[in-house]
Amino acid sequence: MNWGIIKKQLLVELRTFGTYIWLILFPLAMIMVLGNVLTNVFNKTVLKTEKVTVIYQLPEKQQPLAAAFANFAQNAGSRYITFKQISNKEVALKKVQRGSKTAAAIIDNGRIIVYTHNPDVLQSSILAAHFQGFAKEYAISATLAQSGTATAQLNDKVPDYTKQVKVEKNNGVKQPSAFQYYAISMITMSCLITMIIGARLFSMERQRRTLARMYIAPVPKFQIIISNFLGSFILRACSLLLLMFVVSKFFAVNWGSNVILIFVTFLSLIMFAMLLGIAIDILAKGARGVTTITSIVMQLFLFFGGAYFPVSHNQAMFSPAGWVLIAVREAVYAKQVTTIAWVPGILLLLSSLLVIVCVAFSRRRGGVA
Amino acid sequence: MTKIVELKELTKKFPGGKIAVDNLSLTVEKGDIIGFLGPNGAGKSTTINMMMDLIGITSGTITLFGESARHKSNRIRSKIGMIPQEIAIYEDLTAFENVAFFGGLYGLRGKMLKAASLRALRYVALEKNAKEKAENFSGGMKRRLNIACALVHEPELIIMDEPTVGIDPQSRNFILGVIETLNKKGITIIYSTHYMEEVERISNKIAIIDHGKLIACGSEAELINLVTNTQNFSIEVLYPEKVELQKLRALNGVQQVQLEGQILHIIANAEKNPLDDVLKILIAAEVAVKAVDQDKINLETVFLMLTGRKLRDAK
Repeated sequence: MNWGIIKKQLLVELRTFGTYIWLILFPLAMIMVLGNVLTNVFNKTVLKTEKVTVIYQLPEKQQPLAAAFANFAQNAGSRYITFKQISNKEVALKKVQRGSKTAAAIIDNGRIIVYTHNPDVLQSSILAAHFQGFAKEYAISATLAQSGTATAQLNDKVPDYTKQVKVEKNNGVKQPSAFQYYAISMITMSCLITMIIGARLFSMERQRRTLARMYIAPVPKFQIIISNFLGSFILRACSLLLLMFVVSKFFAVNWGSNVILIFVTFLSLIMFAMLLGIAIDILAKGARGVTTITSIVMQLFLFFGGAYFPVSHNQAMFSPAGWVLIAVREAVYAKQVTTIAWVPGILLLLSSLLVIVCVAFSRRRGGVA
Repeated sequence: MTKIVELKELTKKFPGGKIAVDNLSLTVEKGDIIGFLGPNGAGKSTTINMMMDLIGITSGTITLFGESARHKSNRIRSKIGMIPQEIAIYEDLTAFENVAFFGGLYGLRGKMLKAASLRALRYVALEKNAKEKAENFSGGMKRRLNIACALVHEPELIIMDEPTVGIDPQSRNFILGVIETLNKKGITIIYSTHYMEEVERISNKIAIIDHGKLIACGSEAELINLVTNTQNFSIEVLYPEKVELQKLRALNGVQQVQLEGQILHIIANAEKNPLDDVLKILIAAEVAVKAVDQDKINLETVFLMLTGRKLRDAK
C-alpha cells in the first residue's frame, strides 16, 4: 500500500465536482423526486381489499376449544373470509409470511394464536371481528355448559375469554414509506455508480499518461493498482456514511441495531461494483465505450433489483442490487439479520473472482497501462 | 567514459507486423546530451518506452547503468527521470502537490520531499506558482511542471520525449536553457525531438533515426562531414507544377531533389557541380527561375541526404 498514491487519489476525486454530484447530491435529489412523485404507490390505506384467507391448525388431541373452532370455521365462511384447515404449522406460517394467506390460527392448550403478515386496515378489522366474535360465543357456551343456569343470570359471570385470542404479527414487517423505500434504493444506486468510477479509474490515469509515469517509479505495479483503488474506495466509504446519516436524519430511515452489518453490506456492493467496472475496462481494452457499457449494466442491475419500483422477490434475485435491497430492507424493517448475512459474503466472493479476472487479463495485455 | 545506456540490436515488432524499431544499437555515455532526431513515427518514442520497460522488446538488449533494463531494480529506477511527450500531470492538484506526489514515489518524505519539490519548481521557474492548480496554467507552464515532476528526485539520467511540442518559442527557449543547466551538473540527457535547431543547440551527440533504424550517430560536425562532398542549392521558381523532377534526378551529380512549394531543394556532388544542367532543364520547362541560393550544409541537409526525405514532413 502506498499512502502517497492513496492521498493523491483522494485529493483528485475530492476536487472533482462530479464526485459530489454523483455520490451525494444526485441520490438525495432522486429520493426527493421519486419519494414525492410515487408516494401513492406506497400508501396502502385504501378501502378495497382482497378476500381474507385464514388457515388453521387443530391439535392432535381432542380439545373443546379446537372442536368449537372447527365448527365455527366451517360455518363462518362468507364472501369476505374463508377458513381452511392445515396440518403443518411451519407450512402455515410460511404461507402467511409469503403473503399467500392473510392469517394462520394455531389452536393448542386452550389458546388460539393468530399470525398475520401486514394485513391492511380492512383485513385487520374483518379478522378481529371474527375472532373476537368466536371468543365471545365460545365463552358463553362454555359457561352455560358448566353451570346449567339461565343465560340472563350468568352474563356477569362470563369470564373474559377474548384474552385467549392473542393477535401477533408474524415477522412484524412494517411497510416503508416512499421516501424510505427510495432512500435505501438510491443509496444502493450510489454504491452501484462506483462501477463507472471503477471503469474510469485506470482509463483516466492512462489518458493523463500519469499511469506510465507511476509505472517507471520504483513502486511495485500491484501497489500502484491497489493504492489507486483504495484511495477511491475510502472516499466511497465516507460518502456512504454521510448518505446513511443524511437519510436517517431527514427521511426517517432508522437503521436500527444492525447498522454496522448494513454498512458492511453496502460497502461490499461498492467493492464489487468498482471491481466489475475495472474488469469491464480491462476486458474492453480501454475502449471509449466502456462508460456506456458500464452504465447499461448498472441500470439493468438497478431495474431488476427493484431500485426504481417494487419487484418480485424472484426478479430481485437476478441482481446484486436486488440482494442488497432485500437484505437491507429486511434488516431495517423486519430486524432480520439472517437474510442480510450472506449478501456481503457472496459479494466479497464475487469481488475476489473479479480480482483474479483483472489480474489474469491485465497480464495478458502487459499491465493495466 | 562510463556507459549509462547501451542498446544492442534492439527491435520492436508490433502485432500486425509493423516494425517500429529495427536492429537499433546505440551507446550513451555519462554527461552526454544525445539528441534523438527523426520525424514523427520514426521509432523514437517506441525506443524510449522500451528503455523504460513500458512496452516489451521483441529482440535485443537494453543496459542501463550496467544492469539489464528488463525487470530493472529500484536502484536503477531511482536514477532515471522521464519526461513523457504528453503532459502527464494532475490538473486538479497544485504545482507543488504534483511534484511532491511524484517525489513521494521515489521514496522522498517529509522535509526532504518539500525541499526537493520546491527546488524542482525553482528549476522551471514555477516556485511562485507552487500553490496554484495546474489546470489554471498555460501550455508552457504545464510543460515546465511536466519537467519538474521528473527532476524532483534528482535523477542521473533524464529521458525527454519531445518536451517542447506545441509551446511558444519563449517557453521552448527556457526549457532548452534548463536542459543545458542540468547537463552542466553532470546529468546525462536523452532528448528526443524532430526539431533540428533544438538538437543543434543542446546536443553534443546526435542520433538520426528513421523508419526505426539508426541512420547515423555522432557530433554535429561528424554528421556534416558525412556530406562534405556535397553542395546544397535552393532554387525559387514561379511555376513549380512545370518542374520535371525525374529529369533533374537523372542528371549526373544530382543526389537529392525535393520540391517544397515554390522552392526546389537540390543536393549535388560538389565535384561534378550540375547546377548549369539543372538551370538548363528548368529554363527549358519554362518554370521561371526567380532566385538561386547555395545553402549552408546543416542537419536538415544531412537528414535529406541520408534518408531522401525532409525531416519535418516525413511520414
